[in-house]
Amino acid sequence: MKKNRFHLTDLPSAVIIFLVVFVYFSVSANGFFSGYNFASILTQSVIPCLLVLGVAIVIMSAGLDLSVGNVLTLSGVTCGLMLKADMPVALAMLVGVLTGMTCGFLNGVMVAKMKLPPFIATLAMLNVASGLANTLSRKKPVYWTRENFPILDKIGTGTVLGIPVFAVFGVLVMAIVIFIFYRTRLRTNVYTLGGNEEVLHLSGVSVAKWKIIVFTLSGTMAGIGGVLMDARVTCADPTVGTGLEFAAVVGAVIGGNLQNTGKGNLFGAILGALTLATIRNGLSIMHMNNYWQMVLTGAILVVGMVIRELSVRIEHRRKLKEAEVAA
Amino acid sequence: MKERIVDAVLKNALLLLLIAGVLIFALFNPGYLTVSNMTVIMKQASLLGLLGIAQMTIMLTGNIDLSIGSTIALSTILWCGMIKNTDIPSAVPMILITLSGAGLGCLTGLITTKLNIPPFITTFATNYAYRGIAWLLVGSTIIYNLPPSFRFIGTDDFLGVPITIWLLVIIGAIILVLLKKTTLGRRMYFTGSNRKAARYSGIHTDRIIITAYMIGNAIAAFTGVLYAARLNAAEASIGANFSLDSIAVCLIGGCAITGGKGGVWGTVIGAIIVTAIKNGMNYAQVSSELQTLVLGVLIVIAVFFNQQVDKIQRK
Repeated sequence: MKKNRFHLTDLPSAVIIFLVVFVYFSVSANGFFSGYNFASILTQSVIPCLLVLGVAIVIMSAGLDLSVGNVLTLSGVTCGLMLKADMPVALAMLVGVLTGMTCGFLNGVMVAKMKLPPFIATLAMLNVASGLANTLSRKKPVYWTRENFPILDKIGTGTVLGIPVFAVFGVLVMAIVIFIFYRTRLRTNVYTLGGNEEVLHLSGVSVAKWKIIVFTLSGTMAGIGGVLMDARVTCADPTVGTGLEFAAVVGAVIGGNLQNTGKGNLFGAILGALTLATIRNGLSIMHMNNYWQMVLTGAILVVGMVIRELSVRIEHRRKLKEAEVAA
Repeated sequence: MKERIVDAVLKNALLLLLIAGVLIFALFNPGYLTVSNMTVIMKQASLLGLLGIAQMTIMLTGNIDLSIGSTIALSTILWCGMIKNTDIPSAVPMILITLSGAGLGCLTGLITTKLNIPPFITTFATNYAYRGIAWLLVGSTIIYNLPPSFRFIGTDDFLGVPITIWLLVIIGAIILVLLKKTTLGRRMYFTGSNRKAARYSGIHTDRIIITAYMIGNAIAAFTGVLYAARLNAAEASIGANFSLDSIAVCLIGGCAITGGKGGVWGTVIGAIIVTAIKNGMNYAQVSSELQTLVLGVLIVIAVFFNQQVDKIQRK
């Protein structure tokens, strides 16, 4: 059998968008192309990257998770309330992560056991998590006595060899998730879930169990993100996660992860999140106001989708030609 | 006989749920079940019902529109600009705005169908883009003091009934006839329940979906104008929750997110249920954050319930 040749069209559209905006900003945005700015883009995108990993895996398994932004907020608030009550740091962080995990688990149960469409289940969770976070925090940022938690300050604002500690944490978590994904059954089962659920069922694997695992993983990532966000901004703001689900879902999709395709890759998803962070960074360096940023982000996404569709068509035509030659 | 009763209960489950909810709220709050409060609920429900109908026409074809709120923001601002700066007969801007809504819907539909993008992603993006344009046009200024000759449509009564309720009845009837009695309507249901089969049987499914987006966004733009007329103000951030609210109304009213299921009746009752519950919670002084939570739980219960009803009916 012929080994699959690599084609340019296999690349997710994030690669093309990223290259284009990167070159454009390097040329026309003064101060974009500098080590300092790159470092700030990377630091800004640590938490979106965590979320995008969870969401990408959910999308690959033919699901969808719209709740990650507000679950992140809720986790941050529960962790912040524990800190406010002067609980041990480790316990507070654990509670934060567990909150996210529970939300994810409930999403999974709604999808796998109650057979709700993922869009609806996670939309409902979005409302519930936002309602809970605002009720618990009384709609105000939760502050704690910073002096009591030097370790948390170290994680949030300290550096190791010039690298922010919280970024090291984030990258570590990402590395673990990527390792687990590519080295265990998770990947095969997720691909099969996305490609054809029935096949997974027929091969004796519990579909419900794996769906719950996938959603729980996504919730856990949101939980970790919430705790890291607390450490970084030194308070738990009940609006901090609003809109992050947008970045996560769009990042995963332009990174080449689509529902019902039976494939996908995590590095593309991370690049997708980086692309969005780069666009935001570049536009604000060019002093575009928020309104222009909104319009342009929407437009760039549509253009990215056009590129993907074109590349799929070119690929299709090429395959047809190859088949003709073979015949 | 027993089967008949079960069938009748299941068919009118939504209505029974609404009555039960109203009775429970009335039990705890004597002020709830009064003519004046019911009028308030119906007035609010009329606009939410129009939004629900707009979302429903799109959801029927197996699509979704998260940008309805932004369409509303953009069109109300255009409307305000038109009526503030010129003196034209009040019907003209109304018609132009409805058309511009249809135009925005056409664009959304074209992007989704011709580029093969999942609708929730397209409308995520257009949601950003349309609202961004609205921000660009007026920034954070609030337009207020609209001329009364344009506002009557959202505030006045006709034959003792608010005009918005008349409009809900008229537009609801038009859409009802469109869905049940015309080829286009049947094709919309068919496209939603099985797009592939519809395409193989010779239906231009892309065209049907684009039409659905156009109808939906035209109704949404029209509703936006009613909102602005009632509030006597418009701003670029108007209707940030409208998309999710309209989806909730459709789901509670028995639409399936996969398409092909749902109708005008269910959607209108869904809108009344949501408004009645929100109003009841306001009476009980439940905070708006907790109301969000309740809405989320309500969506899950409603969709789960609708699925179970479907299962029983199929047996």
